[in-house]
Amino acid sequence: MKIIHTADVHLDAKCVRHFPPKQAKERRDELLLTFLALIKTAAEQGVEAIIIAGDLFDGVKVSATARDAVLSAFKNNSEITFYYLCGNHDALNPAELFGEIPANVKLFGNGFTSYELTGSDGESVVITGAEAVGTDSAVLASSLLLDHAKCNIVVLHGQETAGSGAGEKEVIPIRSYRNRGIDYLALGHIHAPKSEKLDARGIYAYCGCLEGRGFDECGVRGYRLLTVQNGQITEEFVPFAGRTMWELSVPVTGLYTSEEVIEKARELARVQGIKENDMVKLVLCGEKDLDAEIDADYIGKTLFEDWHFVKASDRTTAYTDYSRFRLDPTLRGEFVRNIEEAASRGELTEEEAGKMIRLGVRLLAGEERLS
Amino acid sequence: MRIIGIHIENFGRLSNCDLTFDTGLNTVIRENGWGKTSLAAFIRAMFYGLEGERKHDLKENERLRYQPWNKGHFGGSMKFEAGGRCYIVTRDFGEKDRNEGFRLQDAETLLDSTDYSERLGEELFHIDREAFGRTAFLNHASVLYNGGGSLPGDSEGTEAGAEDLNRYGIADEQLKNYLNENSPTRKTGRIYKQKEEIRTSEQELKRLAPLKERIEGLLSERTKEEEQLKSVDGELSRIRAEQKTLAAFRTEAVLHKQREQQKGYLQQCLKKVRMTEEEFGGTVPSADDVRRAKEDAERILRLESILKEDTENARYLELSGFFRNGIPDGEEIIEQIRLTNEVQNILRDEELMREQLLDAREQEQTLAEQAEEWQQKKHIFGIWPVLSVLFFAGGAFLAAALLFHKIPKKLYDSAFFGCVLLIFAFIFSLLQIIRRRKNYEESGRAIEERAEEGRIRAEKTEKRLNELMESAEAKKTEVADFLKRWELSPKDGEEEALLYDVKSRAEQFRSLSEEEAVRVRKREEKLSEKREAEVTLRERLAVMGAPGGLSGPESILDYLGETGERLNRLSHEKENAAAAELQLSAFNAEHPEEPGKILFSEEQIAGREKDLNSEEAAAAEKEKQMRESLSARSRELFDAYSEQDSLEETADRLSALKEEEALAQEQYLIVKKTREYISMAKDRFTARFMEPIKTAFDRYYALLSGRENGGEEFRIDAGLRIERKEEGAFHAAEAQSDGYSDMIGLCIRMAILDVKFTREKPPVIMDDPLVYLDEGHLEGAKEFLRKISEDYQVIYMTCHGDRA
Repeated sequence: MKIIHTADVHLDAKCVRHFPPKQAKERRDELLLTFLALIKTAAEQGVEAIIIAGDLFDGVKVSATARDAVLSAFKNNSEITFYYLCGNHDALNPAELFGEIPANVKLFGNGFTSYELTGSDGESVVITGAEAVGTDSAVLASSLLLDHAKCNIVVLHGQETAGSGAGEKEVIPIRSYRNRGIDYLALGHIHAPKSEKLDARGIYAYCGCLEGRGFDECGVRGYRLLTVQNGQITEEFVPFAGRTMWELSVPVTGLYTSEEVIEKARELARVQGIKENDMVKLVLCGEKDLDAEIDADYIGKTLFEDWHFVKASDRTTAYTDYSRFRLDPTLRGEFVRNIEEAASRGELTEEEAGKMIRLGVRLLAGEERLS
Repeated sequence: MRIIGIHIENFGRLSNCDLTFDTGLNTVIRENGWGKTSLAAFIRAMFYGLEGERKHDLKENERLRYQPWNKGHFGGSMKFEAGGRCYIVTRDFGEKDRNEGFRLQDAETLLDSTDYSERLGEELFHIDREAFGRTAFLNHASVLYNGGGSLPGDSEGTEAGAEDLNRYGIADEQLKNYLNENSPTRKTGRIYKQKEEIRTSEQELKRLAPLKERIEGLLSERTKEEEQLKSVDGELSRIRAEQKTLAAFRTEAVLHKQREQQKGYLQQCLKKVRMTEEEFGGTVPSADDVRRAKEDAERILRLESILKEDTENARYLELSGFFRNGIPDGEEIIEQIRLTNEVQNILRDEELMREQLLDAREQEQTLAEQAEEWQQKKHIFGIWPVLSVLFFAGGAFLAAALLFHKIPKKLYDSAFFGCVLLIFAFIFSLLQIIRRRKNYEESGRAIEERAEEGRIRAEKTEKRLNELMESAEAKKTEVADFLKRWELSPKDGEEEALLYDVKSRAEQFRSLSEEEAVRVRKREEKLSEKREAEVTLRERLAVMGAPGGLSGPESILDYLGETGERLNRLSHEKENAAAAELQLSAFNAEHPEEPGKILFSEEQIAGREKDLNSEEAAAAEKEKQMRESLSARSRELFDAYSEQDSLEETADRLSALKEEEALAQEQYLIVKKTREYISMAKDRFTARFMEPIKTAFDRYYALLSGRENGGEEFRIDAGLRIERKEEGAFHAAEAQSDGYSDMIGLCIRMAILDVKFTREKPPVIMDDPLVYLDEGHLEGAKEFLRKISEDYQVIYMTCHGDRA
């Protein structure tokens, strides 16, 4: 029997923090399309259950498109049982949101609720879950009772904690779930995939979000595929995101033109396996020589041809060779020498000094336009 | 510092070239193309290495430009004195800068020295390559003072210092504008606006914490209400459960009633079965017995019918009568038919022969008539000779008459001729008559012969006919005698038809005789079968207990039909009883009878139902109110979540805004400090360099031009931009003639060197810088060279002896 563990889909997330409005809208649409594609894939591969460990929607403002599409997908795939546990972002009660709950959608409440699932191959598993919103995490953990003789999956949504969770809400005290008969602890809330041993018997895993919503969610994203065989659960992470978010750091030290930086970025992208369809945050780093003509905006715009979306930022430090100006009998020389003296006195940091020199020297050379 | 000597291995066109230099002025006079520019470049390269590594232009990339023409080893060495010590610097330039080799040796010990590194020029003169190029290194191309680098090769900021000082105003303006536009204190400043927006957002976000608390409160209230609702739902469930129990009681009552009804029905069915069995009078025959007996009776009936219909064939009887005198065999009849056919043939021949006989008689008659006619015509030939003689005699008489009666002569010839003709005619006629008579006689004899032959043939035919007729009569008699055996008297011509009829009857009779034999045999069999069936039927009826007195299969069949119907009825009643029993069993299985269970009456149930309905209505109303309250709470929660969403969006925006503002602040501070430091640099720069430079410039200009009023003639700004006063107004140096420009260039360079190098002076390398100077200034230029060579080692290269 195959089961998919997904979470943190965040449908209808605004995505405005990292993208301009047009790309934000496109990304919103892609979140929905990827979720629907996941269900289609599950149906094609004979997956019998999909566990949604919270945050299917991003908030209270759910578009009719997303709502109707999700409900239709639930209804049209009646051979799949959906175990939908609401997360902290799922502000709306599913019954209120959808107006109806299809028979193949199982919900969880504030206390632990269990469902027994028997697959077409005769394998059986008990899926137990509780929405941790508003409940003391330690109390919730202590209320879990499982039949150790059965194969158990427990679904929760929250931040893992090493503590007991006493007095805390929406956290998952991992240690409190040890030796409780759990074979697989399906978690949601953390957007990066993670899987670790829970105890001698089971593991706990965050499947991560299905698609990155911004450059704070870089890296491969997907779902976890669980296989139940002979009462044992094995799991694997399956990359599934339509696009991967990347933060590509390009050291510009020793480079003098934007073209050189573009070439370097392309080379690094090739090495890292960035694909045409991906979205890239390009971070220029290292030391930028005073004579270097490196324009982050231009580089970003040029590399738009290579990837689906590019956001370029300049985090370089200005490289300053003071000795070059020590003997310069010009105003620039005088300016640099003054800064060097101030820096040596500790009045300026090296970074400040570098930036000031770059700006001042280039302004005096007529090579800079402040805007 | 001074250069003592150089050894050029290979550098451009120069190869294996050694030169030594003294302190003061060193003049190198060589024709154009010798390599003076390469020599100057070599000396600079010894100090600073080659320049323009990243350039592609040959003129800008010295490594490319000065590659040895002879492809030999690229490099050389220079012996110099500095700080009271002599050194030898050796550089191998190679094809790339990474292949460049540098070696410094103490000239006395020839040991490697670390007093200076490969940045020898900067360490010796404390100026970089660019500054060295702008001051101590002058070639005819770069000496010109034009402020903007008007000549090729002068692009490397000949007057960079002046330019950047000139741009100070523009730069300061840009910095000021930026600071104003981005000011954190001005209301129009970008950072100020960002701060304001951040402040507003933060203010707005202060609502977030209480809002979250409110949401928690609402969630808590909703939970409580949900619990209360759960309690009401529990009560409602209890009432409905009781209603269900009552419904179950009602069901029980209904089931009991249904069970009793089914039991009654079963008893009725069983009673009917018993009654029907009694109708059989003790023995209930099996349906199989009845069926078999019925089959026997039907078979008897069928056999009787067959026997009844089985009679002798009428035709057979008729033919038996016809052939009572015996049946002719086939050959006999065929013989009679053959005789009949012969008679018929004779009769047909008779007719023909009679016709032939008639024809013969007619022919005979005709021939006889012809013979008679011939006999009559034969006499005509007896008249013809008489007539001929008479005719001859007439002619002869006529001739004699003519002869003797003296006829006129002229008629004599004619008469004679006429006579001759008559004689000839007489002869011819006679001959004709003889020939025709002969022919006529021959034909007459032929007719007579034919007439005789015809008569004989007719007689023969008649005889033959008579013979045939006799034969035919005899055969007819024989046939008639044959037919008389079966009392048949045929008329003429009917014999053959009758014979065939007899033949046909005989054959049919034979055939029917065989069929009749078969029929008789079968009839015997059927009779036997009927007798056996009758015995069997009687036995069966006896077994079935049939009443006596049943005679004939019809009455037996009537009896069996009634028995069969009764049996069917019995079977149907038994099935009904079995079905009723089965239905009762199924009913009991589904609703097991619980003996002793208390069953409530419908009245009791209805009374309790009424009470429960009232309770249920009250609880349902309460539930409805609570659901409405919960719904209102959910809407409230929805609004609160919406606001939280909006605030979180603001928080997101605020986060981005803060990042933006922090960057802007950082940039603002950098710009602000940059402005301060540029301003400070400008003040210092002006104070440190400008006055001494102007003084030195005036001195050198006076020396070069011979004019002492340079102090007023020239103006130098902080950007080292030089303007010359002419006709009451200052004009840029680059607007001057080439000669003036060069003079100004030489002077400003030497002025800068004087100001910059107060102790250790660098050597001054001059690559024909006076090329544009007119004759009038040559003396001054020579004096200028002599004067500067007092303080500097000057290596002056020219191709003009008069300028040395």
